[in-house]
This record gives sequence, C-alpha cells and structure tokens, in this order.
Amino acid sequence: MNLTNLLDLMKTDITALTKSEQLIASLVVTLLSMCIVFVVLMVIMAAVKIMTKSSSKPKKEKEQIIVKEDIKQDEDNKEIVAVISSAIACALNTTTNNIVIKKIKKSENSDTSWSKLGRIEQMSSMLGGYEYDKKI
Amino acid sequence: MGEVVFNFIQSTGIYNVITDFGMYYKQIIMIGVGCLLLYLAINKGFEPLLLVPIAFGMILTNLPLSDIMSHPQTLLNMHPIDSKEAAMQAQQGIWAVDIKNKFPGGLLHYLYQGDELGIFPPLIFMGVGAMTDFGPLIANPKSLLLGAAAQFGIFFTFIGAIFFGFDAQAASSIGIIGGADGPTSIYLATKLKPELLGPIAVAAYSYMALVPIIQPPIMRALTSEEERNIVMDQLRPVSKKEKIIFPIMVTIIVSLILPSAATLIGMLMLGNLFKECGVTDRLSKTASNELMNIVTIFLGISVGATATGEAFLTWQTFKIFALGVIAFSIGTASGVILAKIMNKFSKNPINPLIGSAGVSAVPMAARVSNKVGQQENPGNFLLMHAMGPNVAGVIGSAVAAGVLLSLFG
Repeated sequence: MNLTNLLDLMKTDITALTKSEQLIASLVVTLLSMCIVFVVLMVIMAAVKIMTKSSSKPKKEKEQIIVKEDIKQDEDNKEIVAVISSAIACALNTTTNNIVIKKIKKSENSDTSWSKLGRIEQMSSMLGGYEYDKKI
Repeated sequence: MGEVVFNFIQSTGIYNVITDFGMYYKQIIMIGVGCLLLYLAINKGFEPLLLVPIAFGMILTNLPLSDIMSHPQTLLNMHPIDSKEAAMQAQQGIWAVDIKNKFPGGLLHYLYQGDELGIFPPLIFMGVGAMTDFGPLIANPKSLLLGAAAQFGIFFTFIGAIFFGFDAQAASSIGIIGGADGPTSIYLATKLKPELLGPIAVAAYSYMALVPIIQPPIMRALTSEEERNIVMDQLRPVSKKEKIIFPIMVTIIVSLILPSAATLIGMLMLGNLFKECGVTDRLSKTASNELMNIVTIFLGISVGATATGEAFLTWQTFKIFALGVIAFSIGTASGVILAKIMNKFSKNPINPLIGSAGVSAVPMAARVSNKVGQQENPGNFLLMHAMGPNVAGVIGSAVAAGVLLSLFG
C-alpha cells in the first residue's frame, strides 16, 4: 500500500487499517504536517527579513544625509543658527568665521521615551544629581 | 381545575426528573459541571470571559425540557394526488406540499449556526489580530521557528488519539488543543468533528486557563539555572511601514501555500491591519471591543450548549482531556527544546524560557515565560521577547489547522 492510499484510507475509513498501519500513517501525517508548518513559517521569516532589509536601506542613507546637512543654513531661526554655528566652531576648535553653514535641517527625533528619560537622568546627575532629582 | 394543576405539574422539569431519573441523571451531573466551571471562572478567575458563557450554556442546554438547543421542526401537509397532472408530476418527484405548522428551534440552535458554519471563530481571530502587536516578531523573525516547534504537541497528540481509537478527523480536532488556541480548536472541531465540539472547547479553554500551572514545571525541568538567567539583547524598534506590510504579506504568503488556512490567517491579519494602518481606528476599536465581545458571548454560550449530558459524559471526554494536557505539555516542551538548540547556534543569546510561549494562549504564555525568568533574575524582562514566539504560535496553529483541514476535511 503506498502512502497516498494509506492517507486516503485514514481520511475515509480508518478501521480498514491495522494498528501498525494506523501508526505509520499518523507518523507520516505528523512528519508531513510539521514540515509544512516549518516551511510556511520559514518562508514568512525570510519574507520578514527581506522586508526589514529593504525598508532599512533608505533609512540609513537618510541618516547620513541628515548628518551632512546638519551644517547648513536656515534663515528663519537666526538664534538657532547662531547657537549651532558656535557649537560647531567650538567642537572644531576654530571660530565661526572659518566655517560656512549652507543648510540646517531638523532631523526626526527617533529617540524612545526610555532613551529620553536616560538622557534627562544623565543631565540631572551632571547638574548636581541628587538635589536636582529632588526638585523634580 | 385539579386537572389543569396536574397538567402543569407534569410539564415541569422537576416532575420529569423525579419520575424519570434514569433518563435525566446525566443532565443533572452536567448542571453540576456547569456550576463547577462557573465557580472556577468567577471565584478563581480561570478564563472568565469564555468560561462563564460556556458554563452557562452548558447549564441551559441540560435543563430538562428547556429545548434551548432543539432543531426547528416543520410539518408538511402533502396534497393528495387527485388529478392526472399531479400524478405525472409525482412520477417526476414533484409533490404539492404546504407547510402546515412550524415549530421554531431553540435560541441557542440558531446561535450555534455561527459556529457550525465557521463564522464566529474567524471573527474572534479578527479581534485577536486587532489586539496583537506583531512588532516583537518582526524585530526577531527567528521567533517564528519557536512558534512552529510548539506545534509538535498537536501532531504528537494526533498520534496518541489515533492510538486511543479515534478516527483521523477526531484526532485532528483533539490534537489542535495542543495549539492552545480556543478559536482554532472550535473552528477545526466544527469542520471535522462537530459531535466532539463540547469536550474539545471545554478542554481547550480549561487548559488555557491552566497555563500558569501546567507550563512552569515543564520549563524548569528542561532548563538549567544558567539558561534561565540568560538576558537577551534589547529588540530593535519596528517601523510603522513594516507593521503595515507584515499582515498583508503573511496573508498572501500563507494563503498561496495553504489555501485552507486563508480564513483564519486572513481574518487575524485583517484585524491587525486595522490596528496598524492608522486610518481605520474605528474599525480596529470595533473589532477588538464590541464585535469581539458580542461574538464571544454567542460563541461561548452556543459552544457550551453542545455539551449535553449524552455527548459529554462519555469515556471519550476523559480521553480528550487526558490527550489535551499531553498536547499542551509536549507543545511547551518542544518550544523550550528548540529554543535551547537555537541558542547553541545563535550569535545573540536566546533564553529558552521564551520557547514555551510558542503555544498560542496570548498573552498568558508570554507572561508565564516572563514570570519564570524573573524568579531566577528579577531584573530580567523577557515579556517582549516571549511575545514574538507567542504571536508566532497563533500563526503556527492556524497553519497547522489549515494542514489538518486540507488532509482530512
């Protein structure tokens, strides 16, 4: 008896099978079904990985652009421009005369609330720690 | 006057039970079982949202003479064959008939149509989808393998059920209890073996309520203290775009490979898409609240009503309960074991405790993983990591149900 017949009989009239045939048939069902379940879930897994890769690529490029574009100009907020340019000058150990800011672009804040909280805690500890906490 | 009173007394359930106790004792036991389940649900908090309607349906259907689950009856008045024309038509099998009188069926019979025709379980799945966050799964797609491993319980029990003398359809319906997924169990049972629906639904929901008791000993037995202490790397944040693409992608992939799983997966993912797409807030709220609650009431009470004394108080029920707990335990164990194996090959450490969450039972199984992990190391938060295998388990058991449907449906 081949496997197709065995499964057919199992579906329609299981009593026609002997105990050992029933055992073989159910083992075949188990093996076959688990393989299908694993294959389907692995296909989904692969698809998720592909989706993740394709959606994260442009994001990286964007981030790089943002970093580069950080040193550029925005006419509306002169104060912010002044602060940013002096900060850059300070970081580069030079004066504001030596740098030209072409465009400043606001980068999207992708921080989670956890990292924001972490930063606030860091800042508060630098600002005198315990007393600052108490004020909050 | 005396006769009227006597007739009334004769029509009461009490009179019938007393005079014909041999016929009704099973019903009385089932009313007791229903009350016990109500006690467990209300006082002990075992899956109350489902066990309360199921147990009440069980009580209602077993009350003598209530006929709450009875089929509708139609009396046909056949016209006599009094003409040559009528005789010729009768020869062709056409008879003139009037519907003489119609006795409507019991209320729960009509509600049960929602189960029998496979409508309610997929609707519940839609609500589940609208409440599920697939983020942890997308962030760590390997969780899908753990969700698949936990389905071993289903097929191991399938073999056990065949060995116990059940046919393939019954064995499939019993095995699916190991998926720890109530709607899937009900869906499969109504499609393959409706007469076992009562015991299967009660077993599935009872074991889901018992997840915190059944799983921890198995998890501890299979893992070392060191393994339980493993702290996993934080999951990356998942973008909204990924969360929107995921349900559409999974529906298409699964339905193309396994069309019989399309109903369950499709509704699960539709619910999830409502939640994630951001433009259908109202639909998402309805699917996860009002609709879900309405369907839960109808499904619960009508499934409970299938547990009549004759159908429930049999050796089969005991076998189903025994096989159900085996299915559940094997599912838990196989998830933990695969997580241990994966841990050997993975760059990032995997805490094997999250493998047990591969049996569906969302989010209870994930909470149990977290709790057992925190017993070893109170600073170890496994909940989000366990949610990955947990929701993968829902997809996995729907796929397993689809496979069994295509083999034996």
